[in-house]
Amino acid sequence: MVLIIIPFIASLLALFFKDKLAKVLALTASVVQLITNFVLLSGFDLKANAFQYFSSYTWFNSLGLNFTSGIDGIAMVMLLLTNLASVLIILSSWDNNYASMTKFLSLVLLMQGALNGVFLSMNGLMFYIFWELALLPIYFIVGIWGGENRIKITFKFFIYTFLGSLLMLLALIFVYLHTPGDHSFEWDQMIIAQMTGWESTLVLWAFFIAFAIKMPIFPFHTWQADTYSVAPAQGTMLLSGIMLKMGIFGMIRWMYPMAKNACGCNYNIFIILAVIGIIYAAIIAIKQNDIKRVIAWSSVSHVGLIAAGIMTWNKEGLQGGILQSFNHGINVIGLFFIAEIIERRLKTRELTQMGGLAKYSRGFSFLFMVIMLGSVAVPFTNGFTGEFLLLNATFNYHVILGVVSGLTIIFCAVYMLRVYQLAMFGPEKDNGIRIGKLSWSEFVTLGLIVVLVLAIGIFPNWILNISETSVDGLLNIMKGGKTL
Amino acid sequence: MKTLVLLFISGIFSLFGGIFGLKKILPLFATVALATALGYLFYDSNYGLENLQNMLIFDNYSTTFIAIAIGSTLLITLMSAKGYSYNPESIGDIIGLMFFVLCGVVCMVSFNNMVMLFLGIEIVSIPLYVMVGSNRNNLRSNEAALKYFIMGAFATGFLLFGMALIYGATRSFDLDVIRSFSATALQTSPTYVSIGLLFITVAFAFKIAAAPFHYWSPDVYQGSPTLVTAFMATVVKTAGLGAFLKFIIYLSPMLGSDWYLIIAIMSAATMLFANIVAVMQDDFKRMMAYSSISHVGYVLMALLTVNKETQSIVAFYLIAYSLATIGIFACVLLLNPDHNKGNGFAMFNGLGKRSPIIAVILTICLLSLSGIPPLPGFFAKFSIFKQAISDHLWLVLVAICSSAISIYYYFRAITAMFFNKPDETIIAQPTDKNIAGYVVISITFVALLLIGVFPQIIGL
Repeated sequence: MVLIIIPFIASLLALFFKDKLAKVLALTASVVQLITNFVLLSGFDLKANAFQYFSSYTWFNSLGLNFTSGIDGIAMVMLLLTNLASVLIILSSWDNNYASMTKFLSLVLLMQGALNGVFLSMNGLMFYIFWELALLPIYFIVGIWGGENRIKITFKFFIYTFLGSLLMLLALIFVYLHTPGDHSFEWDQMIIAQMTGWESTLVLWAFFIAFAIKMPIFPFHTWQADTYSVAPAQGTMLLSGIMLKMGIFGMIRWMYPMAKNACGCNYNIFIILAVIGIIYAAIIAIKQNDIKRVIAWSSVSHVGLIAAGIMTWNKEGLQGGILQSFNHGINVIGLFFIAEIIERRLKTRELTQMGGLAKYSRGFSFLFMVIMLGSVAVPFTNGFTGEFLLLNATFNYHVILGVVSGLTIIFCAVYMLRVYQLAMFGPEKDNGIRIGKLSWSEFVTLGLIVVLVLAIGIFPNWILNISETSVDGLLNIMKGGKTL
Repeated sequence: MKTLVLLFISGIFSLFGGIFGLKKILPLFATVALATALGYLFYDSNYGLENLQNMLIFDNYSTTFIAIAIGSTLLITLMSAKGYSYNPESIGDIIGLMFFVLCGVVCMVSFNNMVMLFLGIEIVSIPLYVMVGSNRNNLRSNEAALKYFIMGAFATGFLLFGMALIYGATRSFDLDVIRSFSATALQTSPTYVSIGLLFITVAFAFKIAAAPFHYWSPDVYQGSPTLVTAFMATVVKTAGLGAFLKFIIYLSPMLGSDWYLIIAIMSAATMLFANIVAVMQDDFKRMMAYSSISHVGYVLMALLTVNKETQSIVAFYLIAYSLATIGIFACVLLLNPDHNKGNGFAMFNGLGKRSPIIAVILTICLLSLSGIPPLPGFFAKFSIFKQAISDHLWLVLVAICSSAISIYYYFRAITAMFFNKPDETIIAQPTDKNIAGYVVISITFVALLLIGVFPQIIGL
């Protein structure tokens, strides 16, 4: 409850301040938010398989809309990611001087509040409301502060995702009508809705398309690369770092338990799609010359692996997916921030226009390297444990799928190292000198990310423990209902 | 009843006030009169239902819809001091006519006898023909009036014909009698009862502009003065849908599944057609006309299932829709007070920079119409979907597709406001003198947000 209110109030307050003060205010608010989140975590019983901090208020009675919120281990990881990422994102905008910075920060905070709402919701309708609410700020952020051709691209993005949301709404209403007794949108009622296999399959597909558009999974990814590359850096970070986790979270919390009677064969299709996406996106990423586009496509590839792992619906897959969601959020924010730092100085994102930057900025190239290695999933970085669990799950699901998705590590190494090599080494270009020193906010942001990359790489259990009990609980709920 | 009398007397007073040089105070007078009427309405409703010779029945149902109509008129009247600047001479006439329309609205939503329904519809329509044409020097306004008149007369013909056929079968205009007839002799009822019902339905479809009887609407909305357009899009729609719903509630035993199928098809056609055509409009007012047609389609969907919740669902929808529509037209009026600059989307270019207040409020109104949570438009649409989904899944699918289409044209305006650069050639600069306009948009803004966050305050 508090987690939703803080950003909303801060978002309103931020409108009344001048640029510099608004930055301080926004940063303070997001740090307070993060601290609140840690306080909640410290009071969180890791062993209890239940929704904690549960609260429920009536909102709109005749619609079955209640303000019901609760946190389980899975949601806790997502909340931590959201609030941590928001601090990083606001910090990363410190050196930006966009026109009307106050509005920008206000929208970022609004988005943070809405995302917290998504992860807290225990009521289907409330979930949908926050889901949509999270879409609006990003629409304006990309549309107002975006680059060339932004109008067309934001439009495509918005209509695409809105159609997905409507499908999800339809599925939610459909499930609602099958809840026992006096219908209810509460999560615990919706998961025991009685539906035939055929009806369940419909619901499953509606949810899947909605979440697949958000994540995005091949073939629903066409909005993504354009939107990422046209959005301002912080917009891209919000989109890739947190927003696509909404899709992953939605699959775990809503799609899977609700459509439990659906034939497991549907998941075969979904996993195959996800695996196709992994390879397809990785190959495209290798051929890109725009740093942001490389990272955008790599994101499709990574998310494909997360999706494939999760949809095997076994413990390794789910745990790996949740851990990797967290890692991917941190890494991709770091990578996009690096792209932004380079663009700020060199005024270009083309790989062909840069080279030899390592010579001018040792610190920067070191930070870049660690984050890049985290993304490639080298042991002792955060990506390793997550990808290992995910690949293990996929492999157990089907050998061929496991092998094919295992290629992602090789591809990822290829395109990431290619970027690093072209930008940091290689023949020097005359603009390399402009890279200069990092400002303190840039240094702190990247430093924090690097610390996280290494810390989670060495102690992955920190995250895994939070979600473990809930994952077990979820799989227990599903026993008997699942026909895999 | 007192409300009806009060409205009528205020109408007469406005007409004479216009002649005797009281034009300056008329907008204020009208506002006070409407507020009083609204007060009386709620005061009266405390005493239970009031039955006037079985002709009119004032009950909870009629109170709800009359309140929506008077409330919308109140907001529109607030702006009338500046709103009729194209023809300041005739402001008394227009305000007077507005009161007469409201009298008709009262008759329409509280009728218990077909005759009163007919009278109500005519009392609403005839003053409207004049109001639409009140911008005499504007060719489009004249065209709109003529078109509206011809189409309206045509619809009246259908209505009368249908009523005559039903009278022929039941020997009464009284709804209770017709209802009891339908319950007993439904099996043996002659074909022409069905034809009569169909004709009345066609007449209603004309009045509320549902496809395929909506063709008059875009021309009329575009040509009319902005305030009259707002009035037609809200008050007259409220009355038409209120009367139609009452008709359906009363005669539901008489209406076969075929009839409901017709309404369902009509609803689907209205939503799809209006939303698709709205995408291609370059004139904002014309687009709003199609948007309001599409909203009729959604409400028609609610009329398919008559139960105890239908009334509150439709009322909630109309409140949400009316608030947002009035807000939008008020913004258009602020941007283009003289009705002479054209209402293309270009007038919104860069509005986010030029006039952030109007831009934000207009955005909220458009978002509400497009059904983005947590604004009232979302709750309204959602309750309709929820009600219809178990019986008419295909219709809900159509509605969802058309909602997605509607995003395009609503967001076109939002895009123009925030993402486009101001257009040098067409600068529709808002006039800051129009305080009433700002008051109205602020009211709609606050009301939309309040209802959005606390939907229960309406108490439906």
